[in-house]
Amino acid sequence: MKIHEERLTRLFKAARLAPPAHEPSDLPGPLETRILAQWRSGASESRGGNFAPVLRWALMGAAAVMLVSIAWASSSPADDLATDEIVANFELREELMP
Amino acid sequence: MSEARHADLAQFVSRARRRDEAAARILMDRLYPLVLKIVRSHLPWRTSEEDLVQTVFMKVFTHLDQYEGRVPVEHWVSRIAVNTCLSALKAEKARPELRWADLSEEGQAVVEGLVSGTETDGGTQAVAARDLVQELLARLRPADRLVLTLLHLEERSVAEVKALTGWSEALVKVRAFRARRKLRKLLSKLEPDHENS
Repeated sequence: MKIHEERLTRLFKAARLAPPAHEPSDLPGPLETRILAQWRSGASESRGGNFAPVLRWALMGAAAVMLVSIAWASSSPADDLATDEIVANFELREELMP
Repeated sequence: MSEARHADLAQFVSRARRRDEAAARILMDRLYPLVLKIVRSHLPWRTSEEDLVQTVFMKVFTHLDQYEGRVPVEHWVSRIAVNTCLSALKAEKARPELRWADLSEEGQAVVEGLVSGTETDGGTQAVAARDLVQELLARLRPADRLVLTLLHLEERSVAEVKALTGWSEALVKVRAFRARRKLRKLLSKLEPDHENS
């Protein structure tokens, strides 16, 4: 193990002797333009992005209304009874009428 | 001189916050060498250097409001750059294990030199050694790779690594220790006697 540790240390030492690949130069013009363009578009998005919270609240409100409607529809036995009564009356009438 | 430069950069940061494009250009020009150096040291495989530099600058500009001026602008930007590279490294696919046959002739010579105890000169052998280290580091987890690059290739102190990554000093030390152990194992597998056995 010690011998491997020593080899690794020597490998790092040798790697540090390597000259730097290429000294950083000036920022290339096209890259600068790309970054600035993205920055500008980000700014316009954030200015127009004030609608996002409103939309989120609207969506949540709509979902809540939908859930309440479903719950109300499924938990109204009175309606079911009324419907059953209408059906029964209709069937009786059909049977009794010539 | 250095303080004046920091104050100068901080002034451009506050101007850029007010969407001053000229100030943003100056900031980019001044910070580009620093960002490029960090990106080159931690560039994931098959990732464009320019794309990563662009991502770093976009993060800098997006978070300009969060710069409180407690540290020099360069330190703040370095931390963003290091963390951006770390995220990019995390997205990189794991590479297959490095084998003796995968090494270039120069790489094989470096390994043989390590086994025989021959000292490496500073020329092509050093470049081959650096390439070999990069190949081995690429097989480690991103955080392990980052900590070893910062400590052993860039020769930064634990305190510097802590400042750059935001990790605690203990975490830096433990990660470095474990990463080094993994790297040692990878290197030992490359040695010719191991290959033959």
